[in-house]
This record gives sequence, structure tokens and C-alpha cells, in this order.
Amino acid sequence: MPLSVCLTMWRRSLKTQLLQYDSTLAVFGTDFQNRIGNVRLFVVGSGAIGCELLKNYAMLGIGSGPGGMILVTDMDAIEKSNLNRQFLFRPWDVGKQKSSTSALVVKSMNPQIRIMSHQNRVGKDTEGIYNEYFFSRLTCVTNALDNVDARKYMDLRCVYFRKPLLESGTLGTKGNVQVILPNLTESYGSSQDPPEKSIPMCTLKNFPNAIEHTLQWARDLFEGTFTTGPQDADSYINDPEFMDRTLKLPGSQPMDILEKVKSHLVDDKPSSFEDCIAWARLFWEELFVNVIKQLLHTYPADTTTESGQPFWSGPKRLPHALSFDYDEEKCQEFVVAGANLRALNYGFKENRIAGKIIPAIATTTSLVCGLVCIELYKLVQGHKNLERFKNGFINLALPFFGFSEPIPADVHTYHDKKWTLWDKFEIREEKAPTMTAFISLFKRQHKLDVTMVSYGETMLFADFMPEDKIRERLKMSMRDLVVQVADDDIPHWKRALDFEAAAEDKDEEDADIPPIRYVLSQS
Amino acid sequence: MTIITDEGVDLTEDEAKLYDRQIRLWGWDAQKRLRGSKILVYGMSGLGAEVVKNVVLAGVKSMTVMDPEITTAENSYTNFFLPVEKIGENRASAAVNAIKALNPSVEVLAETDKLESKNDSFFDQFDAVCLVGASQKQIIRVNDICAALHKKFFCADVFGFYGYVFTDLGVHKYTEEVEVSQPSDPKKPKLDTVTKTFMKTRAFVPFKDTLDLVWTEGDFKGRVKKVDVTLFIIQALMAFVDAKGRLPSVDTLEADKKSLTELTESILEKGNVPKDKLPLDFVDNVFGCLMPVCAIVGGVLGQEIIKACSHKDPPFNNTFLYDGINSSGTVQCLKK
Repeated sequence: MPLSVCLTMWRRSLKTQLLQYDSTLAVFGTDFQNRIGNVRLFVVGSGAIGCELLKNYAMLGIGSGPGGMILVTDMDAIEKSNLNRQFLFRPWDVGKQKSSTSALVVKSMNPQIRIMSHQNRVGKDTEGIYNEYFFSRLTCVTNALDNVDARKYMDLRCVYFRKPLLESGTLGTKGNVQVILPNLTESYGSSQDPPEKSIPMCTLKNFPNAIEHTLQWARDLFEGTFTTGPQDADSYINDPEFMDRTLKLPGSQPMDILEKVKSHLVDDKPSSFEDCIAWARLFWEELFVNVIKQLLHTYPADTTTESGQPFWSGPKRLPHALSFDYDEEKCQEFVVAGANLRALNYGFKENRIAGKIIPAIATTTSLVCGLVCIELYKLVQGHKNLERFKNGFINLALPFFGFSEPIPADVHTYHDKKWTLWDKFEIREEKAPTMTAFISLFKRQHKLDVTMVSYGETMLFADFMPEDKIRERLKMSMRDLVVQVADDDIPHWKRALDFEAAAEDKDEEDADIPPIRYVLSQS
Repeated sequence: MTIITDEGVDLTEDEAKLYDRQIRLWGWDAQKRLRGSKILVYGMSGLGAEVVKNVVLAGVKSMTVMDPEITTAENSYTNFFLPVEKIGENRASAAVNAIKALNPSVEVLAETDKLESKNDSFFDQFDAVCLVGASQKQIIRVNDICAALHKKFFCADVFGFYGYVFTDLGVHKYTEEVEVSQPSDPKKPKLDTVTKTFMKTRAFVPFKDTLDLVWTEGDFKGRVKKVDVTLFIIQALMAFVDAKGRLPSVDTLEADKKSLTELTESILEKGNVPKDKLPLDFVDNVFGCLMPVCAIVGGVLGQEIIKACSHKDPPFNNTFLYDGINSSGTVQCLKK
């Protein structure tokens, strides 16, 4: 049966509430209708994208069958500036929880929808709630997130539990949709840029030579000035152990921290927005004039190194101090942003400024969520070939629509075994309770010589460890290694532990092997 | 820093906060022009609801929704302003309160008359007129009225997995910000990019000029190779609606598929389009009003109305086509 007919019939059948007796359904068959009704969706986020998605799901009757369910989670409360695009929220909802409010509103649009809401942030802390059992019952995850970290996290979780993920995002008039399918496509993380190498401290402080360096500097400055500084000041007042803890820190750290606390609470404490402006203006002078002058005093422009080379050469670029110019937009922006941020620190009313951040708007969000639902249809239809699915890239300013097939997952090989990011070794605890058993299982079943085993960042076993340590580790159980060596606890809901191993193949070459899922015995 | 001119309507402190995000995107001037605009949307289908939502959220002066029809069960699960308890009420007046709640600063009005009954002067009170699901006869008539009155005209519809948007903005003036390279410091050889605002003009044609194109004549010769065939699907569907006075229905599935096939063949023949350009199995996918397709086409249409009223950013000229089965969205410039 054609999809558009199916969908119309499904939605109509919901109205009759008598699925099995509907004569039209008898003509068209109930298989697809049942599947749409029994979809179990996890909607992560209830902001702009979340509102639009939930509206679409409600109108389509997705998850309104007896086995269906939608769970939406968002930890945020509604703010006034959300209202121009998070269209399920009304002025009188400001201050309420996003997830429960949106669930209530879409329920009124279609009372048959089965929707629940949580106020949880997805992450390490909530893995007990969004655990293996939870994921195992899901049809699909639809992300409705506004930051890359949370997207990456959900991506990892979906890969781990082998669940489809529909990922989407907007930036002004631009939007994108990515389809991530177990065993078929690459994941969200696959196409991300490799993580940047960390930049040495002295480069950041004194010798930046690329915009990445100054960006990092600005981020650190922000963190120190508007986050950790005020936090320390707060702890000084409210946390009786703060002084003890601080004084135990090495080097000049206690002095530095306490001076900043004094500056926040006494020397530079503002009492009005005007004070904040004055502070921001002086801060500018310090950062862009005084510090540079001091640096040039220590290393004048004509300084040479011991080998006679000019000091200011190569990656060390000669800086020059700025002079403050009221007509220069960047100077104004700094003072305005700095003043507003400081006003926020101290709980003043900030001044309105229209900065150059690129925000979300209703039209793009509406479109992107429509595209997500088109892909969800295909997913529910049960298509398994990649060509049927489409990643989308759109720009409403032009307007431009680009669609491409999702990229297949990279194939890795060891011996003659092929695997992708969706694959794992699965080893049962009872088959390999100790490290010795674990290693010999690999030798026996996979013809791999394990040279190293790690859990998270902790190395549990490596063939280059001292012999007595190797002997000790080999004897230990995998559980004890995790608890005692890696210092992690194993909560009751945990079904499996995740290990990574390095191994050599038959030819004693390093083998490219998948990670290991170690299924715990349920006692 | 943005220079605030006297054009348009001033924004209150509250509005500035509400529209903070979009002001960051399209600026104060555009928001103020938008704030002064009066919009008419005819046709409270799923697509009509999406457009109204997007435009009201953006913050116009007034939104008039017009529809002579009564809410049916089918409407209640495509138009989110019309839940089941509104079944039996007029589609426009039943939606007014829900639309108002989206943005209390926008005046929302309902019109329950038929499009045919409205004369030229009715359309004069609006800055932009948008017809959703109207017949081609009414589209041509209202488009002509709007052209004479210098009003921005839009029409759009969705059929199953397919949808279109047509725009006639007359002679449209708009500002566009373009990043240009210029030397920032005579001592430095490097160029800085700065954003400059340009005033531009674009001329449109009325809807009737996009019909009855013969694809082997004049400008269109050769273009038939590149044309998005969704155009012929939409034209066949509009012809169907005109002939039957209704959308294709699953209740008359086989008969409607047959009529559509015939209509499509005659459209291809009239336009001198090779028959193999368009596989006719599309008739399977034209049924029902699908929410995601409404959201997609409604997003595009909403943005075009915002662009037209704010006179910011280039509008497309003149037809947008969406095909959800093959995932494609294209803009075609159609004129004789």
C-alpha cells in the first residue's frame, strides 16, 4: 500500500478507536498502522526542535497505539525569549518546565498520544534511568538538542545500544538532518572534526599566532572571569571547608584564588550597572594594553635569543598594545558584553544588546522537523537499504535544499573478519570471570593475543607491566579490576562493562579490533 | 551597532525581549517593518496552520485567517489549531483564540466568507495575501487584484508527499547583506571581510504567466531536460481539484488515481513534454494531508512572507517545488 494512503488511513483509524473493525483498514491491512502506533520514541530536548517534533508526532498519532510511547526530557524551564519559536509555550508558561508543558500541550492537540516527560539532562548521571532496558525498548531516538556535547553523547549511547538516531539542528536560516542507522551508516561522531590538540599555555598567554589560540584564550578568560571567579567568591562565603581546601593547593594558587575572591567581594564589587561598565573598560585596558606593554618591556622588539636569532620571529609574533577607540565596534562590543556578563554575575538587570550570535527561528525549525518526520516514516516502514534514506541540508535564505544518502559506516578488518562502529565483541562474565580467562578466551575463540586491556581511561592489564603486577592482575576478576583498579562502582542496573583491548593477530601484527562488551552474570 | 530608522512600527521593551533571537538574525529595521505588516491567509488546512504559526510567531501587526469551511475530523488531525472539540465550527473562527495565544501582540481576525464573494477593496487592507488550497481560477483572480494594488501575493498547497509555493511580489525592493573583502589597514596586505548592505530590486510575474508553458518553444527549449517534474505533478493535482472541487481521497482511491493519470498525460501533451519525463506511479503518493510535508512547505512559505514584508534578503522567483518521496526541493523560475 502506498505510504501516503497508509498514513491517512492510520490517522483516520485513530479517530474511530476501533482499529480491528474499521472496514477500510481491512482493505489496506493493519501492519503499518500497528507499527506507527507502537513506535516508542525518545525525544531528547524540548526547545525549538522539540516543540515542532512533538507537534508533528501528535498530529501523526505516532506512538498512540497500545504499545507506543513518547518520552521527552528537558531540564530547562521556559524563558520569555523562547516564545518566538518554541511555539507550544505561552507567556503564562514562563518559568514552568519545558518538557512537562510541551507534553501537556500536545496531549490537548491529540488526546490519544501516549506521552511522558522527564526533567533530566542526558549524561553520565542519568545512565541509571536511560539504561540498557530503557534503550532496548525504543524504536528510535530523535535528538532535539542545542549543543554538540549532548549530541555526541546521545550518538555514543545510540551506537552502544544499536538504536536508530535522527539528528537535526538549525543555525538561523540553515538546517540539517542526519539519519544514523544501526549496522548501516556512520554515526554523528564519525563526521566530526578530530579533536583539537591542546594549545600550550605560553602560546595562549603570550605568543598566540592563530585565531584558534585567541579563541581559546577568550574562552579561558570567560571561564575564569565570569564562572570560576564568582564560584570561588561564593564558596568563600558559603563553604566552610573552602579555605582549608584552597590553602592546600600547590604553588601560588592559594594566593591567586584569594586575591580574586577579594577583588570580587571587596575591591571591585559593583553596586550599579555603571560600575560594571567602568570595570569592563578598565578590564579592557588591562588585557589589551597593560599586559602587552609589560610583555614588550620584558622582551623588547629587538630582543635576540642566545643563538642570535630575533626573539620575535617564527611562531612568536610581535604584539602591539591597542588604544581604546569608542567608534571601533569591537571595543564597544567588548565593554557591552563584559559589562552585561558582570551584571549577570552580580544579578543586575543587563542592558539589551543585539550581538552577532546566530539564533534559531521558527520557519527553519518547522522545516527541519518536517524532514525528520519524513525520515521517521521510512524508518517505521522498515526500510533497510541506505538509498531510501536522506540526510538533508537546507538554507531558507536562498532557498536551497540538498539531500544526500547517509554515508555508510567505515569497515575495519582483523584476520578476515569485517566490522564497523556498530560491532562489539560480546563476552559473558561466566565464560571469562578473570583476566586470565578473558585473555585465553580471545586466544581460543578469536586467535588474538591480547597485549593490553583498559576500562575507560584506566589500564587494567598490559604485557609491559612489571611481572609481579601482571601476575596479580591476571588472577583478579574483571569485576574486581573495575572496582579496585579503575575505582569505579558497578551499580545494580548495569548489565555490562565496557572494555577495550589491544591485540596481535596470527602474524603478530597489531590487530584492529572492536571494543568489548562484557555481559555481567545476573546473580 | 544598528541604526534605528523611523520606518515601520516601534518595538516595545517587551517585544524586543520576545523577538530578541530573530532580531539578532535579521536586524531591527526588518523586525520593525514586519511589525507593521498586515497579512491575510486563506485556507486553514494543515499547511495554512503552519504558515499562520510561523508568521504570527515572527511578530506581524495583524493576521487575518479566512475560511468558509466547517472543521471536519480530518482537519482536526492536520491543523493543530483545531482540536476535535472544534469539529463542526467554522475553520477560521474556531482557530482564532489558539492563534492569538501564540503571540498576544499580534491582532488576529477571522473571515468566514468565500473567496469568490470578496471584491478588490477587501484585499486593499493587507500588505501580503496568501492563498492555501484555492482553485486556479481564484488564484488568478486574487493575484491580479493584488498586482494592481501592489500587494505581495503568495499561493501554496500540499498533496500527500508533494507541495508547492508560488510568489508574485510585483517589483520588489529589498536589502541584502553581502560580505565583501576590503583592505582594513593600508599597512597590512591582508583583506578583511566586512558586511555591507545593498539595496536590490527583483521583478515578478503573475501566476497566470506560469501556466500553459510549451516546453519546446522559446526560452523553454532545452530547459525541459532540467525541469523539476514535480511541477507537472502539482499542475495535474491543481487541475484535479478544479475539476472535482475536492482533493484526491482514499475513499475513491482507484477512480482518483485514474483521473489523475489522465490529467497528467494531457498536461504533458499540452506542454509538449516527453511522456517518459514523469513516471506516473506518483499517483500513489498524493493522498492525504501529511503533517511533515505541511511543516516543510509551511517553513519555506513562512520565511518568504517574512522576507517580503521585512524587505530583507532575496526572495525566490517564483515557484518552489517539494517532493517528499524522492527528497527534493527546487526553485523554478517560470514565465512565458
